[in-house]
This record gives sequence, structure tokens and C-alpha cells, in this order.
Amino acid sequence: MKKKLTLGRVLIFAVLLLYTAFLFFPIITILLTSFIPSNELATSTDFVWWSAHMNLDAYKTIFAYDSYMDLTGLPGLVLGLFNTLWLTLVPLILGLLVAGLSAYAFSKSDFPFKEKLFKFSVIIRAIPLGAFGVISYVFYSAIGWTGENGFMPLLIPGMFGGIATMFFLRLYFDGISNSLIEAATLDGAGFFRCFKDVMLPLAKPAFFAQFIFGFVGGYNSYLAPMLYLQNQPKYVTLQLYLSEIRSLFPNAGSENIYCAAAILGMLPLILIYCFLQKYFIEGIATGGVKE
Amino acid sequence: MAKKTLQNKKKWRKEHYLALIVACLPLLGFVIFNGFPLIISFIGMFCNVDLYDLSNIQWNNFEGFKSVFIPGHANELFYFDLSKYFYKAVIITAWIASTQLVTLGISMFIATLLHEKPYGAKLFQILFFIPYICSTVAVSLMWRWILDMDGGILNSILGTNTDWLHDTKTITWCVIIATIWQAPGYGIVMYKAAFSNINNALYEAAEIDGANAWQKFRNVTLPGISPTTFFLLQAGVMAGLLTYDLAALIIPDAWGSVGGVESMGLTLMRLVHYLINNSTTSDANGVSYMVSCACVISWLLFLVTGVISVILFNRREKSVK
Repeated sequence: MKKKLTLGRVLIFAVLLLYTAFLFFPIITILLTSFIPSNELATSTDFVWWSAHMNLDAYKTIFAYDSYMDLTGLPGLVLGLFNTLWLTLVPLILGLLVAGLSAYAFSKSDFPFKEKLFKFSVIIRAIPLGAFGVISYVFYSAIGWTGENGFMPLLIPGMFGGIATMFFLRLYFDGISNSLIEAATLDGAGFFRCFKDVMLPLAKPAFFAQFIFGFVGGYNSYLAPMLYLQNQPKYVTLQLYLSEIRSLFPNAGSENIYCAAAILGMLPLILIYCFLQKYFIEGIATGGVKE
Repeated sequence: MAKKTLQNKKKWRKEHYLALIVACLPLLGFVIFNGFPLIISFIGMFCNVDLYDLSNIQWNNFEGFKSVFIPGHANELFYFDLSKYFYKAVIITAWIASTQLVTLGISMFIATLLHEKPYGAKLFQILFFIPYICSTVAVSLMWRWILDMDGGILNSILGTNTDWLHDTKTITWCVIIATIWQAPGYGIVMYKAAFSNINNALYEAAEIDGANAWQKFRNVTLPGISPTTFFLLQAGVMAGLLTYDLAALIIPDAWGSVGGVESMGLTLMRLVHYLINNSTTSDANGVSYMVSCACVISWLLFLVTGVISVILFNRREKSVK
């Protein structure tokens, strides 16, 4: 059925269009600037809307040379992306497996103190601990996980799998019938075998949702790398690199480089999002409400 | 009761203990990596803790509390008046946190419009989510260029020559506008899901009773989405109170030099970071006291966020019923 064209509907469309303009105006601005040659930016005191000599020099400069090259032979952006990927993926994947196993135990098997432990987890999870995000540095520095070992606080805690992730997966597992597990157990499959061959394939969407939620968080995370890895150029992450871009390219008229770097930093997630937007929205929406 | 005694009599085998260990792992990680920082920062409020030798802990006679709360007290310990910056940071943090209400309003408004199923609703929803997945670092680079005094697009459009990022009158607004640009995407998705969960029969009933669009919104939609509202409010206020990234990235040099610019980009988390950072890089006398002050501010933030969480959580539970 075709909907009627009414004034109200046109108005709604107009407002949404306006909001889209508000959201994309900044992104288009930096996209534009990233193509403008440096010398034109340096000489102009006004915003340069257009140039006859638009080029990709800013992007080339980012990949051409910066001080990170001396260290590893890789430009900062590439090194940053590499570090971001392993620092995000290793704890994320291991943590998901651990949280999955824990959720599986809580959902499908029986063990001493099960109910009590679960209640304890629920209570402890409800405490908002965000305020300790920075002061935790004191703890990690006391156990020597700063400086050279600054990657440890980013790597190790995540490997234990979050309680929230465990709750989310447990809820999903509860919806999966016990009969498959029972059948597998009768065939002689143990705890881990059941998890790997029965639960994991069945709960793929739940794991995937949590994976996306965690990946976006890890990719964009700035506070923790800044706290623990700031003075360790070898472990620079993508976001740290972006936050340093001004000091890496301090010359006048380097704004095109900053804009190009911001675009390059945003691009990977936006591209992945465009292909998997359905899963993204589901993953973030369900990953957020974790109880 | 009968079930419980039965369970107690159950014989636990090896595999049950295996399940117990596996089940406890996330809890164990949580307790280790949150419990110890909690304990150390609690001790740190009352004692000077040597970060490199935890056996060296000395009672500091509430110096941390005094330096944070009593104006002028820190002058003797540090080279600046901490409490002045603390009270300033409290105001700025509260201000930034309160803009979450604006974010919430925008989310609800846009989601309501999307729920009317306009042309291209699907495409709009996809587009509206994009700012949310952009990193705060890239977003801050973007806004710094837009708000730049020389060559920034905002001054060019308005025909002004305002130094948005350094003028004390506009500096906090820079953080707020970037937050409002980035944050609503999440709320829009959540509200959209909440709207589609409202029972259509309620709208039909309201229509039969002769309710107009506003009455329907007021009496059916608003109560229907209130659990989501409280959830978003809780998450949003929390994020606002703990603002670090955007404030530090958009206004990086404002707080860096104490006694320099009388900055407005200072949030409580930035103050904590400043104290920690300074205590590890310098070896002045007041160093351990700085950590102590950082602990005090962290615990204060923890208590405030905790109380707000509990209140909003209870409201949410009530609204579910």
C-alpha cells in the first residue's frame, strides 16, 4: 500500500534530512580539507572551500615518513593499526571463549555453589566502577605493568572475559534446548567437547554480537592506551597515533594531514559497518543492555 | 527447602569442579582487576602509598582530603591550589553530564520521527549511527579543525573571528557540541527497538477512546519506553561524569600548564589523570600527596556515580512494572 503524501510526512522527512546534514557536515568538511594542498592552507586565513590543485598529497605524506619509521620501518598509522588489532583481538577472542565457557557452565551444567555464585556475580556487576578507570594506574604500576610492560593492562584483564558478556551469553544459551547437549553427552562428549561442537555453532549470533561490540570498543579506545602506552612508541595504537598527529606534523598548513588522518582512522570501522550494518546495530543494541 | 537438602547430598564429581572453575573465571578476573585498584585507592585516600614499593605506606593525617576540599590548603604541599581546580572541575563535569539530557531528547525525537516510517527511514537509521562508531580521537581532530580560529569553517560561515577553542566562554561548548554530535546514535537505536516493542493494541485502544497524537505519545509511548529512558539516562550521566577523552583531546593544552590559561576544559577525570601523571614524572615533595588526592577524587566520583546508578536503576525497575 502506498502511503499518502501529507504535509506531516514531508515535514518529518525535512527534519531528518536536516539532522543528516548536521551529522555529515563535519565529516564532509574534513574530507574536503584533506584534498587541499598545504601551501594554500598555510597562506589562507579563511576556510578553503575549493582548490584547483586538489590532490592526495596529505594521504601520501602520512604513509611516506614519520618518526615511527626509524623504529620499525612502518609508518605510524600502519604500526598503530597493527598494534590496535592485536591488542584488541587477542583479549577479545580469548575473553569471549572464557565468558562463553563460563556462561555454558552456568546455563547447562551443575556445580557446587552455582546459585550463590551467580547471585554474587549479579550484585558485583551492578557496581559502577568507571570512576576507577584512571586511578587503576596506581595498581598496575605497583605490580610493574607499566612502562615496558604497559601492554599488559590492555591485554590480560580482557582475557578473563567480562561478567556482562557472560550474562548476555548465558541468557542466549538458556534459550537453547538441553536435548542436544544431552544427546552429545550420551555419545560420550565431555564438557569442552559439548561447548565446542554443540553450543558454539548454535550460539554464533550471540558471540558475533558481543564480538562487534567489543571490537568497536577496542578499536576506538583511547584512555587505556594513553595511560599505559603513551611513551612506548613500539606499542603505539591507532588512536594514540591519531592523538599525536599534530606533533608529528607540526608545520603550518598541515591541517590537510590531520583531516586525512582522521578520515583514515574512521574509515575502517565505517567500511565494516556499511557491510555489516544489521549486525552492528543488533550487536551494539543488545551488547549495551547486558542484564 | 527439600531441593536444597537434596542438592547438599549430591555427590560432586571431577567434572563438576571443572565447571566450577571455568564458571568462576570472569568473576575472578573482575575481582582481581577491579578489587585491588579499589583497595589500593581506598588506602591511598588516608595514606601516602609508594607506588614502587607497596610495603611503604604512611598515614597522612587526611592531607589528601584537606588538599582537595579546603581552599588554599594544597599551597603548602604542591605549587598550586588544588581545591580551586577541583571545584571548577566539579562544575564543568556537572555541566557536561547534564547535556546528556539534550542527547536523550534528540535521540527520542529522532527515533519518534523514524518510527513514523518516513521515506528512506532505513537509510536514515543507518546514517545516524555512523558518528557513534567514529573514534573520539578522530572526532576531536575533526571538531578542532572546524572550530579552528584561522581557516576553520565555522568562523568562515559566521564571518566571525572567535577563538572557540581558547576563549573561556566557548571552550566547554566545544566539548558539548562534539558530544551532542556523537552520542545520540546509540539512543536512537535503543529507542527504535523500544518503540517497536510497544503493543499496537494499546494505540488502537487509545484511538477508540479518541486520543490525539500528543495524548497517545504521552499516555502510551512514554510509559512504554521509560525503561529504555532510564537505562539511557543512567549510561549517559555515567559517561558524562567520567568524561575524559573528548575534553582532553579537544582542549589538550588548557589544563596542561597549571597557572596558565584559566581553562574550562577540566573534568574530574582529567584532574585525576593530571595528579597521577605528575606524581610519576616528577619527584617533588608533594608527590605522594598528589596520589592521595587523586584517590579521594576517584572515590568521590565512584560514590556519586554509584548513588545515581542506584536511584535510576530503581526507577527503571519500577517503570518495568
